[in-house]
Amino acid sequence: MDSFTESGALIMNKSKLILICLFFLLLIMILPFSNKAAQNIFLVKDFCNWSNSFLPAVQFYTSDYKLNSNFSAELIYNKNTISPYQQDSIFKDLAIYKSGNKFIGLTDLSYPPLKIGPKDEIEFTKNTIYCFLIENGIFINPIEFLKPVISTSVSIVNVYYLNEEDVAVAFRANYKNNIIPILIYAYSTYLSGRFAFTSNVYKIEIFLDDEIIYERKLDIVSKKKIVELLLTSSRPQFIKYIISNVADGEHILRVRVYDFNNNFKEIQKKFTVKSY
Amino acid sequence: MLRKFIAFILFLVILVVFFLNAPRIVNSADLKILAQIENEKLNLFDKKFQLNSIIYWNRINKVTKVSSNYNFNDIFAENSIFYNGKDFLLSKEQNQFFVIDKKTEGKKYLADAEIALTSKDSNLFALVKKNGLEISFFQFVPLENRAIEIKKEVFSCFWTDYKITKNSFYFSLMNGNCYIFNPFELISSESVIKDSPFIYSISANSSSNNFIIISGFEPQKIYLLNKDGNILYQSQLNENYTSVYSYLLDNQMLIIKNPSSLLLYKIYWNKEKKLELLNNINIKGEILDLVEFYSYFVFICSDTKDFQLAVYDYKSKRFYKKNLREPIYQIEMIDSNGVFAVYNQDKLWILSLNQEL
Repeated sequence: MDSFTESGALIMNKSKLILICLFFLLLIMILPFSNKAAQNIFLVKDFCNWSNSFLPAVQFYTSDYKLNSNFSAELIYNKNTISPYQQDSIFKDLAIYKSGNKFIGLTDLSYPPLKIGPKDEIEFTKNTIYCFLIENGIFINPIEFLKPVISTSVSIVNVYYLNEEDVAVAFRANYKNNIIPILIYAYSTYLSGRFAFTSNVYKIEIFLDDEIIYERKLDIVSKKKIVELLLTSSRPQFIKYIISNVADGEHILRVRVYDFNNNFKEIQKKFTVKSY
Repeated sequence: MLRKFIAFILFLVILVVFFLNAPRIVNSADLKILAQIENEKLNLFDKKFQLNSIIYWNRINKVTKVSSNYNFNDIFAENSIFYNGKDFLLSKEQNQFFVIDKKTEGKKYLADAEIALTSKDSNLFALVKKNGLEISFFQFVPLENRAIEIKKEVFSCFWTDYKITKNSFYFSLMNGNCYIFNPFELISSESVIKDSPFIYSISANSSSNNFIIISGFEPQKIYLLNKDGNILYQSQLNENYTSVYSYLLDNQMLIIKNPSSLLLYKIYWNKEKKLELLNNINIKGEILDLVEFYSYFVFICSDTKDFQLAVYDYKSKRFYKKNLREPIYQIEMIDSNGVFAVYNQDKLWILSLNQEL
C-alpha cells in the first residue's frame, strides 16, 4: 500500500512537473507577442537622399568664392573642363588633394594650387562648391574636415514630417496594419560669417513609446551603406523608414536628429494601430 | 687652322641633324580641307569630293544631319543636350533622358538621370544619377529600335576615367578599384588593384578583355591587366602628373597623354609582356577626341587656348598637325580610307588624309 501511495504520489508529482513545464513552454512561446512592441520592430529600409547635396559629397557655400584652409595637402589629381562637349562629368573642375591618408575632393577649382598650407586661401570659380572626403577607400563625412575651417558659430538641424497631400507615403494618425511607413525631411546647416554648409544630419534616433528602436550616425559611408542609402523612392530629399510588427493600440513615435555640434530637434506623433 | 675649321663645320652639321630629328610635330600641308559648313552654309573646296554617308553633327543643343547631297535636317528638342552613340543619339531634357534611333529618328523615354556616358563606336551606354554613384547600363539594339537596361550598379567611389568599347564598360575609381562590366559575357567585377591607392586613367579596346591603367603618385605607373584585374606587367613613368590619360588603340598602340607631352607605346601581349616606346612628342593639352584609321590615328589636342588637329602616320612613324585657328572639339569618321570631319557647335570641316602624307 505504501509503495502504491508512493507511486501514486510520484505520478502526481510527475504530472505536476509536466504541467509546470508545459506552462513555461507556453509562456516562452507567448512572450514574443507581448505588448512590448519595441522588441519586434524591424526597420526594413532606411533611405537617405539629400536635396542640396549629392551623397556622399556635400554642398558648401562661400560668399566670396574663397576658403581658408587649416590643413596641409598636396594636389594629386585635377580635371578641368575644356570642351563644351564634355558633358560626362558629375563634377566640374575637380581637384583632389592628399592630406595624410585622406583624399579631399573640391570642385570648381580652375587653377588648383599644387600645395595647400594651413593658412592658405583657396579661390574657387563659384561660390557653391562640392566637397568629399575619402579615407582608406571609403567616404568620410566631410563635416569633420570642414568644421574647423568654417569655425561654426551657428548650426541648425531641421526635421519635418510631410503632409499626406505631398507624398504618397507620409505619417498618419491611424494605421490599419502593423507596418508603419514614415517619411521625414531632415538636414543640417552650419553657418559662420561668409560660409554656409548644408549636409546630412549627423545622427538620427527613433523612439517608439520612449524606447529607442533605431540609431544611425552618418560618419562613414561604406559601400554597403551606400547601397542601402541609395535604394530609394523617386523622391530625392526625404528619409523613409518602415517599422513593422507594431502592436495594436496607441503609440507615440519620436524622431530626433542631431547635427555635428550635438544640437538636436525632435518631432513627435501619436498614432493608433489596428490589425484586421 | 684647317682642321679646326673642318671640326667646326662637322659640329654644326651634327647640331643641325640633331635638331631636325628632335621629336616634334610638323605642319602638314597634305591634310586637305575638302569642305566647310558654317551654320548650314556649305563651302566646297574640292568639287570632286562626294559625301557618301550621313554625318551626325552634334551641336550640343541639337544634332544636324548632313546627308549625302548636303541636305541639312535638325534633330532638336527644347533645352536639351545631345550625346552621340554608334546607331543612336541620346537627348537630355531637364533631367529626363530619351533615346533616338538614328535611322528612324524615333524617340523613346529612358530614365531620369544627371549625365550620360556614351561612345561613338559602341551601342553600349550608361546613365548616371546626380549622386554620381548610381549607374544604369544600357544597350541600344538597332534591329529593335530601342535601348534595353541591362543592369544597375552602385559604385563604391567616384570614377576618374572610363572607357566604353563595343562590348564592355571600364571604370577607374578614386579608391584604387577598377570596375569592368561585359554584358555579352555577363562578366561584372570590381577589382581592387594591389598597391594602387588612386587610379588616374583606364583604357581598353574592343579586341581583347585586357586593359591598361595609370595608377599611383610618386611613383606613377602603367599597369597591364587581364580581365580579372591581375597585373600582367607594370612600368614606371618618368614623371608624375596630376592629369594623365591613356588610350588603347585597336592595333595595340598605347597613348599616354600628360599636360605637356604625348607618349606612344607599342604593347606586346605575348608571353613576355612589354611596352616599347615608339615616339615622344611635346604637345600641350588634353586629347578631346580621337579616331583610328588603318594607317593613321587622328586626334584633337587642346590646352583651352590652342586647338590642334594632329595625325600620326604609322608608316612614316611621324606626327603631323594642322591648326584650323578655331576651336575644334569633335572628330567624326566619314570614310575609313581617311576622310573625316572635325567640328564645333557652329562650324564643321571635312578633311582628307592624303595617301602620300
